[in-house]
Amino acid sequence: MNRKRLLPLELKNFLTGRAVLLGLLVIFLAGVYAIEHGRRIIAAQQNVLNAAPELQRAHFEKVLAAHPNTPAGAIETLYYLNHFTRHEPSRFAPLSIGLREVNPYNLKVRMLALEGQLYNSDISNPATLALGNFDLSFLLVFLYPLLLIAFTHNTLSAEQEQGTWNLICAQPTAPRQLLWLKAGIRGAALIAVWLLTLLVSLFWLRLPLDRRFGFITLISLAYLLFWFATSLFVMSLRRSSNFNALALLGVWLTLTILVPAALNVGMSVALPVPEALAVTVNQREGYHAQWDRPKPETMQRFFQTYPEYASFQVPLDKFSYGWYYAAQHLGDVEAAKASAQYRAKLRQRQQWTRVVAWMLPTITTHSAFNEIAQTELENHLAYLDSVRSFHEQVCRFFYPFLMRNDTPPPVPWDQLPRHRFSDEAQKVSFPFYSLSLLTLSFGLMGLAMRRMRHRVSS
Amino acid sequence: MLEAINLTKQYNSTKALDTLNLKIEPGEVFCLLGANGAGKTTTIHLFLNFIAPTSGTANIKGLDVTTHPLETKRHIAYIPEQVMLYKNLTGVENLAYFSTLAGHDEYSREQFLRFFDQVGLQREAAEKRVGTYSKGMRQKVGIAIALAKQAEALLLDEPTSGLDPKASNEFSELLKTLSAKGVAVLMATHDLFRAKESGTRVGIMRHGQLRSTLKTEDLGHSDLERIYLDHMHD
Ligand SMILES: Nc1ncnc2c1ncn2[C@@H]1O[C@H](COP(=O)(O)OP(=O)(O)OP(=O)(O)O)[C@@H](O)[C@H]1O
Ligand SMILES: [Mg+2]
Repeated sequence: MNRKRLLPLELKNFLTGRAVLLGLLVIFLAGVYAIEHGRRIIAAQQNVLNAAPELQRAHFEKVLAAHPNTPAGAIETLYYLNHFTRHEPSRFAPLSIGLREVNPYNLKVRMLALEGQLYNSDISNPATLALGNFDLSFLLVFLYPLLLIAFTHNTLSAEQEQGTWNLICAQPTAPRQLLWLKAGIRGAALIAVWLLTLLVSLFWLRLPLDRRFGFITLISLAYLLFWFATSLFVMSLRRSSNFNALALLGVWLTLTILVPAALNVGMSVALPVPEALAVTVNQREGYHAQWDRPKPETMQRFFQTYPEYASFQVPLDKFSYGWYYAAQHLGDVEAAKASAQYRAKLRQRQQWTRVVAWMLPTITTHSAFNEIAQTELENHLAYLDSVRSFHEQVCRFFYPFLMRNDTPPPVPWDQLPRHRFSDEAQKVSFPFYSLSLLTLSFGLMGLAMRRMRHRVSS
Repeated sequence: MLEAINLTKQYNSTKALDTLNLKIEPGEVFCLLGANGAGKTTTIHLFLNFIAPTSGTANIKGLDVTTHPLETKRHIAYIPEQVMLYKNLTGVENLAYFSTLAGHDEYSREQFLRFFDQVGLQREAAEKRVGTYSKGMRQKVGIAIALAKQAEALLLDEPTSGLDPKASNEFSELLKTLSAKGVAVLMATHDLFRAKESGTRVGIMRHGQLRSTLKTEDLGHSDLERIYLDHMHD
């Protein structure tokens, strides 16, 4: 078989097919749109984050101006001061926005009990293949398979239906080889457009050409290969074009919509997450309980964590901020267990998603993209942890001005701790569960090739 | 060149072909006559290994087509009843495509056009999309494809269906030239006149059986028609 001579003819034959060029153009433009859509969402967040220091400064100025410039006045302000935090996205975040759009990334925390402030907005389910964002991972997972199906489902059946197959089979060339060429061209056309799209993202988003880009390329190619192999497998059944199209659409519907939806429902039944509320309630109760307790008792419990202030004598006859903030701290202590449970539950869901991802190429790919783009639950929880320690830093900064028996010195406002958590600074490793996708794709490909050898004889 | 030995094809209850024994030598043009469903296409498909025989063998150049599928196809060219081509390619491109599959990747554009000259397809038509062709024009491309293969044997299934009288005539001439060069031809046809004109032998089929074989040189035109109808009536 002279491939060099056949290739241009096959290529012309394919590309002049009905709506083929249009389809390729549309999916390319959709890719460009998806990149821009992701870029805008992340850029908007980045703008908010960039503005934070200035807003923080203005906010401080305003609050401080409203209080007398005395040590007592400064302590009065602590209740009103918001401390801005920043969850900086990774550079790959625009490719796969994931949970980045639903979870808060710029929490402002006050020196009050923290846990309730963290879970003010509910954390969303990591299992959802959220239909929300038209980003590049969505395009790849949902739409690329559809076009691949449209292109490849009738590679063989159309030849039989239009009557060219007989003339091919009358030639001394193994029809199977020709079929590989035909199917290969169809798959390669789409893969070429995908790679071009990735290249556009590389330049447009100024992505670093590092291992993350390599992972994304590898996993996306494996995903496309999975669909290609599936289509070949269906082709080897040697049924009609209509049958092939319906069968492949059935697989698509099952893998992209039905199973993920069923899993979502199943998971929220099997692993309910009511603790978000419990955390807040526990914290409130923990704090309110202090009002009914003798003040020294509250202080004793506070000193267990912060023995360095044990010399502080809480005034028993009047309100004192030292006691007030100790009570706030105890609210967090009360909520600590529920909060840990809550996080464990979320992580458990994430684990289950991972287990499922081993088997479902759609979820594998989507999860892997989110993991590489650092837009998944784990990244949000890491940010919350950083907010927790920042809150602790802020408290420790102010406690010396509160927990004392004499008049406090002036607060050195310019030395206040600042928060910044950057995903880009965290290490990203290869999402190992996507090995299952590679195995599945190559396995299916081998199986389809074997079947073709048996079913498409000369 | 082409040989059927006890070749039989059974579909469930119908015997599409019943113990066919036939030998076609180089230079012979064997015309298969028979009513619709007589088993002509079945015979040709068996030689092409499109379908597997229930029993018996079909040999091409002494090789069993079921055990040497690719090798035997090197020696035969085939024109189906309805030549179907790639609609988005031109006549020339279709010819180039199938010639390449046939193992002829040496032809130049000019040579392709000369094949079209031989089958009577206008050169400017040959450069147009096949999607715009009439049935007869497609058939001509099919003949050109067979011609370009330069095969030693031709399997023709009503090759002139859809051809105008002039083109049919030219095709008969073409067959004569080829048979003079030693090409063996097996042609299924409904056209008694053509069979008499271009065939060296005719075989009459009915219900999958080859009822009678005649040399055309021994026949007048009216004889053939009478014999054919006799066989239809028994
Ligand atoms: N795939 C098949 N399944 C069942 N029966 C078949 C099949 N193909 C052909 N037949 C039967 O075999 C018989 C011979 O058919 P064949 O196509 O060889 O006839 P033919 O002589 O070419 O007829 P025509 O002149 O109409 O082309 C017919 O009775 C037909 O119904
Ligand atoms: Mg027929």
